[in-house]
Amino acid sequence: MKRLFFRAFALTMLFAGAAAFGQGRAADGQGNAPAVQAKAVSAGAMTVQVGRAQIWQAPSVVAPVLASLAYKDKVVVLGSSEGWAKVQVPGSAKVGYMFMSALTQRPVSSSAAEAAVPGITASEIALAGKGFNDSVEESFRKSTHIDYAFVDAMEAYAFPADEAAGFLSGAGGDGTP
Amino acid sequence: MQRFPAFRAPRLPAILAILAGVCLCLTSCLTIDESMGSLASNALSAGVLDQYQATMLKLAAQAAADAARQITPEEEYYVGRAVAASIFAVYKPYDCPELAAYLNRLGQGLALSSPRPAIYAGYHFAVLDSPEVNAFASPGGHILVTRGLLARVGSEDELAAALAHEISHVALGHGLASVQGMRIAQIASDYAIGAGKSSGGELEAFSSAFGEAIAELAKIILFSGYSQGFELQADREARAILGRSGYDPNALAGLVAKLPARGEESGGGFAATHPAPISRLEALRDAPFEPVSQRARGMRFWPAPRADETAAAAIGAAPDPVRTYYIRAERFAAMRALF
Repeated sequence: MKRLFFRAFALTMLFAGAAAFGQGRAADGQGNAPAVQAKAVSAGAMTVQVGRAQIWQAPSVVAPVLASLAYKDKVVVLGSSEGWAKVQVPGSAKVGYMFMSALTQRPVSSSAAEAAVPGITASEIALAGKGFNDSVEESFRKSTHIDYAFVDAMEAYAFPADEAAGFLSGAGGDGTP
Repeated sequence: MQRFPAFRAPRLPAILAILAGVCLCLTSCLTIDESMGSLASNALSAGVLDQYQATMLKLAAQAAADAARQITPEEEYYVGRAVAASIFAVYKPYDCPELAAYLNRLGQGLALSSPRPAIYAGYHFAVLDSPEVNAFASPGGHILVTRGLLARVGSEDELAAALAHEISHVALGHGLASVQGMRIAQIASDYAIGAGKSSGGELEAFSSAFGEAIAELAKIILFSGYSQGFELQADREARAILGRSGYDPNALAGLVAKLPARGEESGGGFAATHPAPISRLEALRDAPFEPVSQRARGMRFWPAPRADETAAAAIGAAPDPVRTYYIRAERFAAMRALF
């Protein structure tokens, strides 16, 4: 009974914590909850948190592209302004600009999963990250038979940033892909 | 049977004190598992808790920290894909590649001026073949508008306003903020506290929990709608996106005025999922709107030559705004035939 009480107590604490952070996130308004900050990030180093991220020569999407970075790539940030991060182009002396929202100071995946222990399964990786990822999606699709065809079809419409920006200003007026 | 030893009078104040301490930790920016863990250790050494109780507290602290950890853009994307697939199970897409390309170019261009131009797999747009006036946004950047909504749109500026409103829901994280305090946090916590400690079937258990979270989020997006606060916030952000993208910021109010009010027949789910148009217009009227400076606009597209000479030299001159105006009007007229 004593244990039962403490189990209930611990669970109460848990939900109190979750609710408090849920509210914090909602109130923040930017969708950027303060949450748990990364502890071991060297000064200026940030990680790419999106699938693909470009580095432009100037803070503009119509500037020439200097480099393309992939998910989890590291980059040295020299400064930031108006949503742009000024960065050191990896493996080069050049300096360029990328969207701040492409970067995070937090580790983007579980270090346990990244340790690549021989024999580690996809399911263990998914659970080590305790996140929703492609393995979870695969399992979800198998169990529900939900159809993703239309989702994949709409994701196929992806235009480079300079083309989309140019379109707003009147380029490509015929609307063809 | 043993009678609740933990409730013995001398211990209750001590536990309340720990609770108060924990609440304090939650409101500050301390790392939650550390602060709660040390509280548990202190309580243990002070003899308030026994070893088992202290361990349970530490476990709960760890679970709360996991639950509170920010959802990553990658997770938003996978949640968003599942939500979009759920919406496609209710509404069929409108098969018109030309219109889809137009919408995606326009929407992806607008998203560049949102507070979050880079998300995990970018913003994508599709039309739903329904006469209902409605629009949906998944947390992963999948934005769906109905033909019923398109029928009410009178210009490219108004279409941009509708897309910018949905882009704002994505950029501001409204989808997951609506459920994060509930299911998603709970799922992570359930797992962390040991619900899935058996050796087999964890992924299946996790994906079934994932399914529950998706069902809940899809229900909010399809039927009950976001909170009024989120809707009005998305309106304000949409107006700013329009300004930064060179569209008429007032086009949003123009569009909102044409949207169905509660009880209107063609309203469909829209009136149920959005605040009344009159409250949205009043909120827009009362919210301060700062005209967009040339510099702020240029920071995403063509920087003003004087603000950044090097950039301007690398990029070239901005297109002529008068020419832009005519091209937008002409292509919208051509596209409207496909709505």
